[in-house]
Amino acid sequence: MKTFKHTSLWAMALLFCTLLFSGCASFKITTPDEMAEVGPQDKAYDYRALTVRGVVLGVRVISQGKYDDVPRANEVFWVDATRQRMRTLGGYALLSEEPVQSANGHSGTRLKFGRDQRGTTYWYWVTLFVTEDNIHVIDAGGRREHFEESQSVIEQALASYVVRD
Amino acid sequence: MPRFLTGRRLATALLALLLAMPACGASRSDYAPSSSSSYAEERAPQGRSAAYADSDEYSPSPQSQPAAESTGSSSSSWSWFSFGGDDVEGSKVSPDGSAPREQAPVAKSGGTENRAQSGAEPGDAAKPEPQAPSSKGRPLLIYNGSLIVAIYEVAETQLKAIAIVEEADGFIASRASDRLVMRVPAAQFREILDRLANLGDVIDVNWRAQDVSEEVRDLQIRLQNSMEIRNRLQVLLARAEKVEDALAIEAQLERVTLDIERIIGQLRSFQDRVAFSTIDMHFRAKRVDEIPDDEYLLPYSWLNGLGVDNLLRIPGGRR
Repeated sequence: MKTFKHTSLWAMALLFCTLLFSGCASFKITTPDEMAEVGPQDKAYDYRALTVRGVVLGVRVISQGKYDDVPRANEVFWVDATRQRMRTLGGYALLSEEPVQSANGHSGTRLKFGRDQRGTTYWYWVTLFVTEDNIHVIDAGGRREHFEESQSVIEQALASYVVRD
Repeated sequence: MPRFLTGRRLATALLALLLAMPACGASRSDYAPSSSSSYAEERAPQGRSAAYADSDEYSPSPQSQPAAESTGSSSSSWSWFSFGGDDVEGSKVSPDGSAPREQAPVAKSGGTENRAQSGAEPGDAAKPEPQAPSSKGRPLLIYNGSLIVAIYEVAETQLKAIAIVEEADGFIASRASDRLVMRVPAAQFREILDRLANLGDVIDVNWRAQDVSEEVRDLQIRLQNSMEIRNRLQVLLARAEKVEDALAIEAQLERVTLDIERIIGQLRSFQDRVAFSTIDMHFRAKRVDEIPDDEYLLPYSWLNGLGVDNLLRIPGGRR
């Protein structure tokens, strides 16, 4: 009976570790000193950090082929889908688009958008890295003047991004 | 005053005239557009009233009508309202400065026709085609365009748009925080539309040319007929001896005069809209129910998580 209990505990611990690491293994990012990471209560994002002026950086890793509405597709497709959605439905203005590389050399694309909302101008950047299994969506946004102040910090965080899967 | 025009005979003549009203005047086939100077020139902002300078010839009031015209020679009393058919097709009114591109399709059909270009760049219009000769002159076109621009730096973009329009001698019809309605000289419609489209991230461009040649022609014929009737009524009024006859004629004169004023109002409206195109600039996101059927809505729910709203909505945070 005791052995069975031990085995069960080990199995649960193993399962927990597997789940824990499978969720975190797909990327790595270094939070700059000027930003603070949001706690584990944040369910909407895999990672989110913000500056004291409210410029936020978020990461979502979405599994391709796992869900019906996330088919497997390449980077060109997902970048195009993102661009179209933001411009046609979101009303965001596409300010620029540029190729980027992750810290470990993975190629991606960064779309820079702008939008006015309630009389305030916001900047919103979306960086996409697409692997065989995942779509890495790293977005950063905030009021334009605050974003401009923190731009180097955001760029530092983005430059530290490692695509693991 | 001839004696045969008194009493019952005068009443009979008046009745006959009234019955003849719809039939008299120029028939449609008689109409030929006046070849006066370009309306676009006349309506140029520096001489915005110049279009009506010639209108001094015309006066709706019977009292001021020249006696010579009252005799029934009303041939030119309405022609000042010509849109200058030959000039309308010229480079001054054509939106891109080269008329054939827009006018060729109408020349083929020869009738009232609306043509729309939805979601297309203005520069994508049909290539110039040979003009079909038309005895009726080239069409009178009213250009209307709309732009949907992404919501970004709206105030600055509006100021730039206003500068472009005013530089081209256009004017702002209305301005709101998310919308700008501009009137621009028709000759520069396409050029200005292109320049406005470069101000921001344009989500949609839509423009159309409406051919109003038939409506204008009909109104001009109606105006000519009404003015001829008014002239005849004035002759009859001058000859009337009985008070009741004079009152009856004056009542008809008043009705005809009102008709004339209404027609002139409609013609002026057409004149204005032909000379100055309207561009409606919206600053907004397209709503789902406005997306055309042929625009596919991607069914990937993760895309809905994009945007500043979602990103800045942090658990526990108060905004």
